Amino acid sequence: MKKIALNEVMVGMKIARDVNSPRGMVLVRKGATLTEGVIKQLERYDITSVSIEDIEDEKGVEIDPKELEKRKMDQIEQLKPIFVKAEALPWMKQLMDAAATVRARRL
Amino acid sequence: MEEKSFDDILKRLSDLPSMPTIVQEMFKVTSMPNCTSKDVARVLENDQSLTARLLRVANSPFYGLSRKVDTVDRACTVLGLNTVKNLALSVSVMGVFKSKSQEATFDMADMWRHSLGCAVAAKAVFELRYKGGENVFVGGILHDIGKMILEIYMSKEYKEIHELYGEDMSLVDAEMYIIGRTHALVGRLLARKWKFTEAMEEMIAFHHRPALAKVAREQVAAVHIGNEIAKALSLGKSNELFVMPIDKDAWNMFFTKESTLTDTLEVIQDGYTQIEETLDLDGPEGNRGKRLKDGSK
Repeated sequence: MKKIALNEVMVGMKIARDVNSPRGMVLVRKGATLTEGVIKQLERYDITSVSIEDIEDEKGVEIDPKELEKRKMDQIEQLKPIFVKAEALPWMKQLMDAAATVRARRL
Repeated sequence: MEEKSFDDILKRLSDLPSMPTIVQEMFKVTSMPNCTSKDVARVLENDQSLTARLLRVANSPFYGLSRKVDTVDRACTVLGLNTVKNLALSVSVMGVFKSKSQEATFDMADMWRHSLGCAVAAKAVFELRYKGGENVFVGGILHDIGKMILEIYMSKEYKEIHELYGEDMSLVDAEMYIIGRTHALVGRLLARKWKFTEAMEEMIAFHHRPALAKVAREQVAAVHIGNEIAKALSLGKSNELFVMPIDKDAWNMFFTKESTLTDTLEVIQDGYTQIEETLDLDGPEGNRGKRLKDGSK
């Protein structure tokens, strides 16, 4: 688990500790995965940092989030040619993105 | 290009493999109202190699057993009759087509890996909303069975299909152009011949067009989605190059939030890796030897 600034979080990261609004309302529960929508909501509540779970590869070695993001971009480039017939559809783009994330964690 | 009549194809397909005796027996025994694990064990133990493969799969981390099972009886108690029945069905059908693979022009083991990927994915997707995805798992294993039949029994025509298929023409369109029927329909013929359930027949027949399903809409949708997920994660190798658009209604049956998607794909990727290792698809009966000989990949 580590605490990182909200402007450094990425979609797909997992929340390691409940995030509360200044008034104590739970905004995001522990274990939730960050999406664009959740990040926007946290910004609206002026949340500046969140605790995220460590990202580990299959051997349990921690991966640097920046390195992971780079790997994910590489995976998207590799997936694009096989997604040419599908990626115009929003849910297929989501699938491509999620597949890239999963593949990147296993490189 | 000369067009083949469907009668001609049917004639050639009339010598489709018959259902393995052991699978017939399994269906008979497990449909008896008071079937026990002993009955299942009695049938399975007639085939030692099937039993061994089944137990290896049952002991894979995929099923998460805390203790090793070493008899079919025990596997039935721990995993449940339905799971063991479906595992036996999957493993024995893979056996039938594995032994025929020498005649095919493609790598049968890679095709089975794709089917296994689809099976694991379809089950995980189905279980996001419903219980009991065992049936869907078998549907995933069998969804491309028509391709295997075409590759084996009509290898010449299927080679032409592969030559046509590409950026501008989908595999299904190429199949229609050369033989006038799709692999999904050929699979359906086998499903009828082997007297599969109607749900299983639909999972095979409509995995590209889930909207046509009547009795098993959710199962068919899960297999349809699982097929594309397997391609997106490169689980095994389908002979289809592209990830095709998933039917929107099918997608919406299971995915409402983006967040569950990545988690589901994680589960699928891990499940596939765990179960693939135990199936020994490149084993002595597989075509690793053939691949080495060809010098391909």
